[in-house]
Amino acid sequence: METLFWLSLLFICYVYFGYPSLLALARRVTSRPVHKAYCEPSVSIVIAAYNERDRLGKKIQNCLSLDYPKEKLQIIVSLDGSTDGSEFLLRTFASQGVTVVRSRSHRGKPSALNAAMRHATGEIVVFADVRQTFHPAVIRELTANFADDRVGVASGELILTDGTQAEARTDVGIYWRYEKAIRSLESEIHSVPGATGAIYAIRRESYQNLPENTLIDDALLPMRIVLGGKRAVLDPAAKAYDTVACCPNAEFGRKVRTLAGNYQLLTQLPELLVPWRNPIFFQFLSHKIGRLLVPYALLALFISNLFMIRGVYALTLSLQVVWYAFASIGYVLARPVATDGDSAETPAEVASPIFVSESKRAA
Amino acid sequence: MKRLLSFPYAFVLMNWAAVAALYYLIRGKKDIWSKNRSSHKHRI
Repeated sequence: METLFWLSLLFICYVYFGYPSLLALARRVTSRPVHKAYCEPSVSIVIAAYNERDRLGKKIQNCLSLDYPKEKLQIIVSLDGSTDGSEFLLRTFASQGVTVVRSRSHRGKPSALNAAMRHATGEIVVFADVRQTFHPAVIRELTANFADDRVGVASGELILTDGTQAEARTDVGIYWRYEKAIRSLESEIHSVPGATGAIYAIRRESYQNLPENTLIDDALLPMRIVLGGKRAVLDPAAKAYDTVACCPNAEFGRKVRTLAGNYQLLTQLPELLVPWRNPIFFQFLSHKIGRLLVPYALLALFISNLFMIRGVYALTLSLQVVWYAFASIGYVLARPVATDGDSAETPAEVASPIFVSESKRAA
Repeated sequence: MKRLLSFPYAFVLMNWAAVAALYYLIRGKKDIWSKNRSSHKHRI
């Protein structure tokens, strides 16, 4: 039990503190700056959307206002079986060169991206989500990275704001800043093990169709390219903005999807676990796999501590009990308050429509 | 004080997400992307 306890503790500390510290040290020795050069290659912006009529207009306006030559910019919106009239809205943009790709049925984001890519003509393809707003210089900054032949993926920086244009300092906002700091270090050394879905670019020639059941295209596409010998870099000069999730509950559903995608990635690209095939094996193992295993290490830490309650172990058990007590109180505080005539949703329902769909199906 | 309480909660919830993710993948859920479209969506 003692061995299990210390191994679990060491593992958790390594994932959250040791690995970032090692990256900081490695950067001093093996930093590989990207040789950016501003040029104007043709660019296709690809946006996959499903029933996003309310946001699409603003997003298209944002893309049309970017600081980039219009004749070199193609905007493709791939509607994945939308039934909310998005198509009619997009007709108003037809004269401004917006290409609309329609699917009659709702088949998922990967199919929507595959369909859009059949119409893409740009040398560089920028993938975007509907929610986020691009900084005007985003295309110039992203494309400048591809002047460096070693770069195969350029990911932008997503800035989560608190609604007042200031970077958020909530729990989710702070976590995101910590995550970005790690990605920045990984990028400087070689590559990030996944791009930012809201804003990333690849060379069109390197695109391979996504399997229809792909959960996170922004990990599969970059990792395919990294396995092919190119770099996936993070460029903080290419910025997109989004508002931060109001609370951890609202972040939960998105996190489940992302982490399920990480599990799925291992089945789609098993060579990621082969050190001589994956040039960022160490980063992938420490960052992606480490995060997947931490919950089990936390469980092992707690259970093993229950069998050792003397000396220093009494202190560690007390700390753990206090930690989980705080978490429980935090859970209670985060629950939505019911209003008259309306029942409050449970945190799981607020957090993840997956749970809603399943509970309704069960009912 | 609320921050002090919500940080452990956020930490536990985000780690629980990894367990839930494995459960959903094993159960073969294919609607994770589409169902989440209505939720707050940004990549971390």
